[in-house]
Parts: sequence; C-alpha cells; structure tokens
Amino acid sequence: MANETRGRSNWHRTATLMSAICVLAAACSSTTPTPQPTATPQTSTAPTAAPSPTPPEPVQGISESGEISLGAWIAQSGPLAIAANIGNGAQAYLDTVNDAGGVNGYTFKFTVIDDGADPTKTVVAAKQLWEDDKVFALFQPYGSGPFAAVKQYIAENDIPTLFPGANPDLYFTIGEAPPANIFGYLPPYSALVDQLVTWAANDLGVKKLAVVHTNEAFGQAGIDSANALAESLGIEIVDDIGYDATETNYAPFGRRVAESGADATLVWGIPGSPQIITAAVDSGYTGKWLLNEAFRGGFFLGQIAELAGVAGNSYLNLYQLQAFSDDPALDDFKSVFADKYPDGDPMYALAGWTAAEMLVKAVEEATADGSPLTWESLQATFLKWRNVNIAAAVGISYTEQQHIGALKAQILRLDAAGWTALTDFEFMPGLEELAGN
Amino acid sequence: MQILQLAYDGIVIGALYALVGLGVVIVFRTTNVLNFAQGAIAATAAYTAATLIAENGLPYPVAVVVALVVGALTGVALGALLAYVLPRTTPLEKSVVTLGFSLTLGWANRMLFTDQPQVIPRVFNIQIHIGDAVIGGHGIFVIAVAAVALGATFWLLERTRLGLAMRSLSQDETTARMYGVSVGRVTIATWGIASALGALSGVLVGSFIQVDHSIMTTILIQSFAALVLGGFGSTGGAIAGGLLLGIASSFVAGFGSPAFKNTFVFAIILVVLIVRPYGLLGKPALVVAEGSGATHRAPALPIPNSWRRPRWLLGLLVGVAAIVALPWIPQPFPLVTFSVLLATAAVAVSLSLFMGYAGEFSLGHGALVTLGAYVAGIAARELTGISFPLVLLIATVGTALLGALLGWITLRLSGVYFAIATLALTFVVTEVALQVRDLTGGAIGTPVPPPVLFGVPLTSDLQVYYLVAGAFIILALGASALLRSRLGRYWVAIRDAPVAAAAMGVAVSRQKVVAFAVSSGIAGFGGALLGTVVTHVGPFDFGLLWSITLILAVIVGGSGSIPGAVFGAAFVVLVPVALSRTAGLADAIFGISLVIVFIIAPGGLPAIASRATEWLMARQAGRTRTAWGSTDAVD
Repeated sequence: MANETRGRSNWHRTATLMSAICVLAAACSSTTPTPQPTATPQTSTAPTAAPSPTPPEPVQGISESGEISLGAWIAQSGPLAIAANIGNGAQAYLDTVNDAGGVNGYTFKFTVIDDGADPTKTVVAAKQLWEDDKVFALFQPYGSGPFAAVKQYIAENDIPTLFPGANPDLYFTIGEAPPANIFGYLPPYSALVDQLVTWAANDLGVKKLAVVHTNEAFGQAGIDSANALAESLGIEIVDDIGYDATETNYAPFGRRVAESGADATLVWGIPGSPQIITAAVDSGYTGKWLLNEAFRGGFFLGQIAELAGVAGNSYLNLYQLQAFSDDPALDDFKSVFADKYPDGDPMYALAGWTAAEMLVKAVEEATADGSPLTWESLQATFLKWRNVNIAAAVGISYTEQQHIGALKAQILRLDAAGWTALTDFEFMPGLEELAGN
Repeated sequence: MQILQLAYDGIVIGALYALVGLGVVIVFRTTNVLNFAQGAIAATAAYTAATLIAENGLPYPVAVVVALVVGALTGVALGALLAYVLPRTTPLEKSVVTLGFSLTLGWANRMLFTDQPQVIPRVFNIQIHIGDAVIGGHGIFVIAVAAVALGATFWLLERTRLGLAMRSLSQDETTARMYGVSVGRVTIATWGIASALGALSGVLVGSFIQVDHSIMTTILIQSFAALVLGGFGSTGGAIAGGLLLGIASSFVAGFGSPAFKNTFVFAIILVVLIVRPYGLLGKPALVVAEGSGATHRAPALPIPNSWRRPRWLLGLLVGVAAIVALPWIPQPFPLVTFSVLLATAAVAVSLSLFMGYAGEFSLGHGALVTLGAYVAGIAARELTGISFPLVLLIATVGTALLGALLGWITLRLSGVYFAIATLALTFVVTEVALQVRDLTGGAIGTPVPPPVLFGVPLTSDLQVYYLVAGAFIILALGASALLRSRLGRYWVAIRDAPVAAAAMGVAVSRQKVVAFAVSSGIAGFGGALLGTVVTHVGPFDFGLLWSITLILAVIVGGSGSIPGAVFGAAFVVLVPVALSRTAGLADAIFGISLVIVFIIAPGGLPAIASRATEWLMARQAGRTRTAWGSTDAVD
C-alpha cells in the first residue's frame, strides 16, 4: 500500500516535473530572440531609396542590414499592465513601416521588457537593453517611478532616450539646458495645469478652486502648480483633497468637493476620479470641472459623460489629437490598430503610434541625403523641427533650449455630443519663448 | 459635512468589505488558508458580468447569476488544486499558492476580457434626499444585497448540516473525519460558497466603483484589516469589522486630513486591538498561529558549536566562493541583477528568522526596507562622504528602534492580528514620505548617491556587487551566530511553548519585542543595500505587494533558513527577470511556477535538502545491507 502510494506520488511529481519543463520551454520560446551584438558598420545592402555609404565608425544598435534596435521597459503585468498598449501602438506602426520595406534602407526592431513598474526590475531592464541588447536608443520607456530609478544611469552613460512616458519634470527643468541625450514628447504636467487653470480664471471667471489629486507624482504636480498660480491669478484654493491611488472609498472626497464652495474643481488624479465626480454631483455640486487627460475618452469619459451637471460644465486641455478626433492624420492608426489589436486601448496606443511615427520621420529626414544614421544626425534633425504635426502630435518643436516637444495644447469642453474644441492649439504658459523661430 | 451622509457612504463600502471578508473567513476557518485570490476571483466574476451585459446584451439578473457560477467554479478549482494536488503543503504554503493563482487569474482576465476598467450598470439610479444628505438607490441596493448574502451565509453556517460540517472541520479535522464528515467534499463546498460571496462582491463593486483587478485586490487587503478589527475567524466579526472600517474611513476622509487618512484608520484599528487583542468579536481559540513556525515543519535551531563542524565550514566556503566568483562566470543577466538578489536576500533573512524562530509573520517589511533605503539616500546626501558601513549602521539601528516601538505597541497581538498591525507601517511610511517632501522628495522620491568605502565612492556595478555581497556575508554570519545564542533559544521556546517558556523565566513579551526589533533592523540593513543598488528610493517602491512577495520568498526558501533566504530571493528576483521578455506572460508563468515549486518540493528548500539527505542515506543503507549478504532488493 505504501509502495502504491509512493508510486502515485512519484508519478505525480514526475508529471509535474514534465509540466515544469514544458512551462519553461514555453517561456523561453515566447521570449524574443537574444539580439546579436550589433555596432557593426552599415554596408550598402538593399537600400530602398538612397544608398547608404559605410559610416566612419560603428553605431551601436544599427546592424549591417540597417536594422535599428530600440528598447523600452513597459509594464505588461501587474497593476499598470494597461501601459502595454503604448508598446503595442508603437509596434503596430513600426510593423507597417517594416512591411513596406523600411525607410531609406532602415528597418526597426522594438524590444519591450516588462518591468511591472518595479524600479528594482527597471534597473535590470535598463542595463539589459543598453549593455546586453545594445540598443540604439531607449524608446518610450514608461513610468515616472521606474524612470527616476534609472535617471542617473541614463545620464552617466549618455543613453539616447526618446519620448519617455514619465513626468517630464524628472528630466527637464524649464530655464535650464536640457540633457542632449533625451528628447521628450509629454509636456510638463505643471504646464498643462498652468494653461487650464489660467484659462479658467480668465475665461470662466473662476475665483475659488478646489483641487482633487492623487498623492503621487502626477497628482502632486497638479496641486503644486495650482498653489503656485493661485496668488498671481487671484484664485483661492478652497480645498486640497489628496487621496491615495489605492483608495476605494471615494464618495467622501466628492462630498468635500460639494461642501467646498468652489467655483471650479481641478481633478488631477486618475483612479477613482469618476466616482469622486459622481459623488460631488450627487451632493449638489454645480461648479465647473477642470479635468485631466484621462477623461479624453474610453472608460473615464463614459463614467461621467451622462451625469447631470457635467456635460457643458467640464473642460480639459490636450496636447495631442485624440483617438476620437476625425482628423485624417489618424485614419491609418484607426484602421491598422483596430485590425491588429481589436481589444486594445486606442488612447494609450495612439501615444505609442505617434511617437513611432515621429521617430521614423526623423530617421527619414536624417538619411534623406544618403548619410548614414547616427545619434548625432538624429539629434540634429530633431533640432530643426519647428511646429511640426505628425500623426496625433501637434506643433512639435525642439530647440537647444528645450527638448520637450509638445509645447501647445488646446482647451475642449464636454458637450452632449462629446468634446468640442474651444481654442486652437496654443502655447502653454512659459513655453512659447522656448519654441524657437 | 453631514454625519448621515458620511455614515451612509461608510456603510456602503463597509458592506462590500464585509462581503469580501466573509468569504475569506469561511475558507480560513475551514482550511486555515488565507485566500489571496479572493480579489482576483471577484474580478473574474465582475468582468464576466460586465461582458455579458455590454457585449451579449444579457439582462442584469442573468448576467449576475452566470458571474456567480463562474466565480464559484473558479474558487472550487483553486480549492481542488490545494486539497488534491498540494495535500502535503502547510496552510501558509497554500496561502502563498493562492497568491500565485491570483497573478495567473489576473493575466487570464486581461487575455479573456480586457486590461481596461469596465463598469456594470447600476440597478437603481434614484436618489433620496434626507435633509442635506443624498442617499443613492444603488447604494441601498448594495447594502440590501450584502445583508441578504451575509444573512444567508450565517444561516448556512449555523443552521445546516453543511455548516455544521464546515464548523467541525475548522475545529478538528481528525475528529470531523471520525464522525463521518467528508473532508474533501466539505472543503470543495467551502471554496465554492466563499468564492460565490467573492463573486457577488465583485459584481457589486463593479457597479458601485468599477470592474478592475487592482481595485478588487485593494478591497481584499482592506477586508483583511476589517476582519482583524472585527475578529478574524468570526462571521459576526467580519460584518462588524467591515462596517466599522468603512464608517471610520468615511469620517476620517470627510473631516480629517486626507493626506494621513490611512494612518488614522490604522491607528484606530491598533487602539481597538490593544484593548481587544482578538478584535471586537474574536475569540482566542480562533486565533490559529497561521504564520507561525509552530507547524510540523518548524525549523530547529542550529546545533551548538555546529559552526566548527566540517560540513558547516565547507558549506560556508562554497557559498562564499560562489558569491565571489559569480561576476566572472558568464550569466544571462546583468551583474546588477545579482546585487538586487543579494540585497533582497538580506531582507528575506530578516523575515525568515522572524517567521521561522519567532513564529510570526509581517506584512510591513516593505516599509522597513523603504525606511532603510531612505536613510541611505538622505544620509549620503546630507553627510557627504559618509562611510557606507556607518550608513548601514544608522539604517539598521533606526529601523530596529521603529520595530521595537511597533513591537511594544502590539505586544498582545499574534498571528494574523500582528501581521495586519504591521501593515499599518506600510501606510504610515508611505504617507509620511509623501508629506516630508523636503527630505524625501515626495512622490518622485530621492536619489541614493554611490556608497563610499574608505573614502572612495563605489560607482561600478562590480564594486557595488562586492560591497553588497560582503555586507550579506557579514549579515549571514551574524544571523547564524544569533541563532546559536541564548536569544535564539528564547525565541524557539516562545514559539513552541510560550507558557512553559514563561514558567522557565523567559520574558515572553519582551523577547517578542526584541525579535521584531532585530528583524526590523536587518530589514533596514537590507533596505539600505537595495536603495544603494537601485540608486533611488520612492514612497511606493516597496509597498504591500513587495512585502507579500518577500513572504513568498521565505516560504519557497523555507523559513528559518539562511541559505533558504538566498534561494527564495533568487526565485522572486530571477524568475521575473527571466520572464520579462514574455510579452505580458510573466504573471501567468510566475503564478504557475509557484504551484509547481510546491508540488515538487512542499516545504521549500529545507524539504528538498531533507529529502535529498534521506535518499542518500537510504541508498547507503541499501548498499550496506547488500554488502552484508541480504538477497532482498532494496528500494
């Protein structure tokens, strides 16, 4: 009997070991192939438009065949897994370019490492991408906390970094020369708040402002900016309502908004913000709503759009076209992304698609005369951009004084039919003088 | 602010806490397993209902019933896995497996449904005005449904044969078997009922807040706090605790400073626990030392003077040689990975000793690590050129003192009550770090400058690796010496026989405080190492999820084992890094890996070592017998 039991137990364990081997094999087979060391000179093999002469020295991340290797850490698991859509959007665009034969002899390879938004994993990912995979540039690495963890490493190694999905205040300080190795796309959160609150004070006559914000980097930018602006605009901050991103009981915060006596409420937090708005409206709040970008569409917009006292009363500012826009610049994105990722989130994905299109355009311009691509030639190309529109990006400019990129935003109002633009894309406060000629 | 309004808000959310918590209690009372997958099961049910309503046009009641069935079956599958595939694991190990199941289920939800939040339509969109208070019809609906479900569950447990069987199983499995209780069937029924409750809570949360995996996980953690407040293991306590927690959080948010809301709420919980150590309605008999080492696998102390034995010395030499040689051996990961591994192992040692020898577990070690990392960053920034050993000393002493304070406050608590009390640390440290921005950098965090040794800043990965390795080796030797000291004997005595220990003159309460202080100090030591390796620390870097992952590392490696701490740290560090290029499969594979680990080696590393030793001895015995002329085949 004992032998039978032991026999069953041994079979059990053997079966499990076999399963374990299968699981490991599945994991290994689904990994991207280990990139071969690159940094070899280009040769003039199969250029599509202009032949590329052999560069004087090897360029890390560009293979002999002209494949440009890009890398990013993006949370694809854990609480921030929705960020994976950014990578999907970028990949969708790069696939269309590669399928068409690339651009001027160059194709693109994008490696994403899942760091789960854990900084201890981000430091490993950063070194894997730069030192092992030898990428040409970091492309849309995502997360403010993760970026903060590797900011020093990026600076010390002068790692080319394009369009980080992180609080720009981490790597840009307005008024100081920007790091040469980083080109951004997100505008500073403080600039977005400045524009929205200033407009509300001047155009809506707001005098009393309540601020609802999460107690993390994004939310803190909201309250800090509002506090800094208040006196100059003659606004009184009547309540500062900060809440944890892990909060679940949102209604009391909405009640505080209703009791604050505010003319307008700045909502600079993402989790739970629809519930706070709902509770405030239910409790009789009739003031204006100044919303953040998360309300541009999808789940968050759906939560509030039909609430009484919200449509016609809510405003936000956007620094790029959004997936709901009818602008023909987004037609390709809408058709391609919907086809490749039917269940994907188009709003996150559009950011990735746009960044990829910006990069490809820059590569195209940098190599139009047949010159080989280098980081320096790409930098020089970016620095020529003045008020450039690409996909959802509007009015992109880079100068020696700023590498922010998106300097303009437009104010929209939520009406019954959706978001209606009230202004054109205009410079955010403090950024016009940095736009260059 | 209307008191009625806040009370209503608090009762609605409290009802949800109670519903989630009751499912956890039912499973815990019957099986001693803390079900970390309850949130994920609730999310699965909620996504099912949302999808059926939005995409398939099913009526709300039909969609909800289907969702409940889906949730119940998911729970039954988990229960069957634990009961039939992992029968030889301890309840704590089973609890860790539920965590892995939760990760895998989260991935499955993203694949089957979506990674975006969803919403389930509200049933009643009416509002009732009572004075200035607005009472929502849907909120009343939530309260009513929760009340009916809680009442039905109470009736089932107290008035039915199944409930009697479940209660008898929770008292004593052997006796229950003797009286004809079918343990397997009752266990499966328990999981099904508990998961159905979880599914119902998911549907209600999905209509009241949103359908989201993270939200449900957060509500689950808060329900743990509610259970402790009301009395863990008590069905009445689950209800009372849920409602009280909901109301307390409402009033603090409404009248107090939102910046310290969680601090105030947990302070309230601690005050209650100091007066009533088993919660408002809990009873001492229901406190199972779940996290304790008082199980059949409780680690034994090292043999006195065993450090002089050749095997111990050989093991030490091999370990040190491996650590020293590692940078020169081709590896698939960057060297910084192993610095993270060793720093994490240092923290794992702190928890491993505490769990294995003091017999308690902590959900707050992430906060202690955060503190240690902040000390490293702030000290190095403010005291330029400060020697790294001094930084380590400050971090260790500082966190030890904090641990002593918390240990003293929670003197009368044990088991899951103590664990939830340590959870308060996580919230307090985060909230304080967010507010003391000049010191900590606020939400962005602060850089941790390179460590300085003998006046030389160590900036390369190799230098930092050897620094961390050296610190870990010193820590391991110190911990080993500690276990061989009188202190180690006090701890084991308190763990295994607290009454006898007290009778022998051991100051039980004081030694528990000392144990937590020592563990906290080591955690701060590890935190300073981690902050140095990562070169940055922020308030959210080592939160509750990280603390739970640390417990997982200790269980996998075997509590009370220093080599086990390294093994466990290797598992939780290297496996996710190895899976980081699997396009979002990391959660699923990690969760499945956990199950596989416990199938192959229940008990973690010590069990592997012990089985290997037994196998070798059996082979040796077989050879000896055949050498003496036995004709019997020897297995």
